[in-house]
Amino acid sequence: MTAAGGQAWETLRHDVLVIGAGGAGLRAAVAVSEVGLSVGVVSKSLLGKAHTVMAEGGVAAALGHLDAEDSPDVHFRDTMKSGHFVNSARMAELLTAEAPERVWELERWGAVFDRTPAGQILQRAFGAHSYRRLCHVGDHTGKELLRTLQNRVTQLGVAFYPEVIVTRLFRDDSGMAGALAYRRVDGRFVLLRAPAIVLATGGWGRVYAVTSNSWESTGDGTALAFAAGADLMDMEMVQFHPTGMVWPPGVRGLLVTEGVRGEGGILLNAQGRRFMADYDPKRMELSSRDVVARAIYQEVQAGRGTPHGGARLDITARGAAFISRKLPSMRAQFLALADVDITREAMEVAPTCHYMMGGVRVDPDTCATRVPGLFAAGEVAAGLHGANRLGGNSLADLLVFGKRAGDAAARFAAASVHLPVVAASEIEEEVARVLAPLRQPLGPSPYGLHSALQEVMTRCGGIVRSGPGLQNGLQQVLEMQERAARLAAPGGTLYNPGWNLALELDAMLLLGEAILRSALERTESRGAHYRTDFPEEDAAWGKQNVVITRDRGGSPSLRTVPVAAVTPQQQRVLAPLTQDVTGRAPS
Amino acid sequence: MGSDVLFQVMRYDPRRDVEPYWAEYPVAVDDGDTVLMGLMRIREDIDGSLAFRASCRSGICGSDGMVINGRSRLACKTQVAAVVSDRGRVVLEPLRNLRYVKDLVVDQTPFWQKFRRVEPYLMPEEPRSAAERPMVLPQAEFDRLSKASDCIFCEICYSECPINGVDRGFLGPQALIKAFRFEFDPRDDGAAARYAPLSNVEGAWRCRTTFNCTDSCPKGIPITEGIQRLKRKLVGELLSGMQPAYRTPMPVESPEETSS
Repeated sequence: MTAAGGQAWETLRHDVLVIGAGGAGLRAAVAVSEVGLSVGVVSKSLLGKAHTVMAEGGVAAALGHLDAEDSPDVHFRDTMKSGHFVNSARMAELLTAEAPERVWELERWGAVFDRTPAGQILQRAFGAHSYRRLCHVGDHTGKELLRTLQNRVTQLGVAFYPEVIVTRLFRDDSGMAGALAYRRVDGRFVLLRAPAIVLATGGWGRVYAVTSNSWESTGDGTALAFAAGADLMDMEMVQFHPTGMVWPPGVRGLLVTEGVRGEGGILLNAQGRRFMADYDPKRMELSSRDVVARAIYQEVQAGRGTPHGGARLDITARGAAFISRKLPSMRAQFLALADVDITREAMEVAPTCHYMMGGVRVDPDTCATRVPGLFAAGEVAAGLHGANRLGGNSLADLLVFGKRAGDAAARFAAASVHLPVVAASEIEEEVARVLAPLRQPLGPSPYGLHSALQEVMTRCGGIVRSGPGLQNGLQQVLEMQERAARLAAPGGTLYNPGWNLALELDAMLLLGEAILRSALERTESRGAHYRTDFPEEDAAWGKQNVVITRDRGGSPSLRTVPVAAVTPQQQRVLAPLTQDVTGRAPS
Repeated sequence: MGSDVLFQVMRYDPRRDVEPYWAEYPVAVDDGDTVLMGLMRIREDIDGSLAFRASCRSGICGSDGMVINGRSRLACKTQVAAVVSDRGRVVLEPLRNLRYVKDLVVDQTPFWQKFRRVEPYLMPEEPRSAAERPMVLPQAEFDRLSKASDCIFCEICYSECPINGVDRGFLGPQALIKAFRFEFDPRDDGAAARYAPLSNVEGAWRCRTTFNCTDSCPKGIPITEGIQRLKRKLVGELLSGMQPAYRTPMPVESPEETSS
């Protein structure tokens, strides 16, 4: 115990610290533990509650159980095409090559995926996948995946610290030095010393008013990485899932799995027209997410929306027995939360903020950021998904790159020869910053400021954007950042959610700014990024990523960098796409 | 609708309050609103320090278990309209049988320690090489395990179990259904390792089949049935001479958090 400004902190030490206990974090922890190093996992919530549990549809892996023609190469092509070729070909190549082994490994650890009649892992069709590819467990695949990893880390005896909030990362000359955090259940500070840190903190959907994300998805890790000197990339690429619940208000934004469309659900406007025929007659409801989301948005804008401003999603034709078997959670969700029986009535759906393609810029093979010793995997990292993520690629992402980040962090920690040191003065300074909202007698409420941010981001940085709107939004977010310095959170340090939100807002305001600035920079429309003043794809922009670096004053500084070159081998795999009119040929 | 409903919430901050007390909040409630929505409104508009756990708001993560009008339930899956009629108000208390931390938050440490004690992971018959493809699993076997695997760690069964209320050492329904999930997995060979924690006066035998766990489980898992099947399996192992009798009590663990 050490005294710091009247406070005390406890010190814990591990070879590798993993921040975040979703799929990527737990898979990284397994990797570190398996090579015999000490790993500690900190999580904002309890074990098994992470947003991964909400992933419904499945994990994309080209096992070819139903369609023997499928292969990692076809999966690679689908991923690059869906990302509109601003994604990292190397990451897509690694993902598609390694996903099958990561899935089989889960079964060895006890997972139970749905079966084919022959007893093999069953795979389902999903938007913009060429073949039936998603390994699934009903419509609660993420939950089974996280349970399996949870059981595995329990078996390995991984140290787990629940309800611990990291507020700052410390560096030293040769790598990371540690992280300062506080425990929610007693408000005590903890210094977690480690030479290597894996960030697996997920996304930041809560910067938008309507989101499918859990309340934890506030982007803390992304902001921590940026503050430590890592670059952010593709921040303008925000995926709006086409089908979120719209009614009642309390569940607005909750996900309606793409599995509904994968299993045969059709989209109808208020006039009963199957409108996807007007937007993508070839792929219809199974077009890519950006196309379906904008189609619903445009139908509503044109006055053809349902009473609560959405479209109708109808799967009644498949019959009650089939629906109950394949989509049990969806059936229960609509019955319990909206009093709608989806075996007899259509669902009402509208787009909802679902996933961040952008995030921390990493090395494709090791998930290393440009800060030595700092790694990032899963939704917090950028590069794999480019301008649009394929459904099912997220669960594959966190398994493949969670393992890679864990492996690389373990190698880094094993090679590090000294015990990292953090100066007491740095800790004291951070403790004072963290406690500030509790000591403000009067100031804006974090809840009010959060709502204001969500409103601005939804209006100015949402599914349809324009230059003036983005400018206006940016101005407002910058003003909010000034107000945030005076936030007041009454109450003590013991399990105080207002205090917690005040600290999360620092991250959300930074990431809101990053989204708006990047969206302003990209003067074209591509994938999830759609601007009314630049409605077409621009071939020149197809060769660029927008990167944000922290300048000396701590402010975001934007630049464009060329998209990583495609190797001759990758070029050969991509070649069939040059004949496809809907996909732009790679350069 | 938009009518006001009275939320009566147990509040307690051990560093500031001598003892727990009731706070009353009128909350504007719309048709279809859940208890969780009401709590969110109290926190946003009246008291930002009100402590409760919640994450996914759709009954998947299992964070927001609490006692609502006398019964343990998930706040996000409980409609205000469905519970307000019996008392004319919504009465909220923390889950039972665990140490009180603050407001609607309890210390879940013993719950997780007991989960770890049943060795809740697949112990395959023989170590499998990384290159080996997964085994074939028939749909019927899959269905049985899948239901037990549906558990969301919400602690509602633990809160409703009368045995957990009188015997702090009892493993409780959640740990036992986890043990069932692996003991009945055709791929598992961990029976010998799990026999000691399960066949014990604080293990499966302590269950008195009151069915509170089954009745309260928000995922509809037939927990009681699973525990009875575990008992039958343990008897079989005992009679076949594989295992000793279950007389020795398990050591009582300290409720303090361990680091693993």
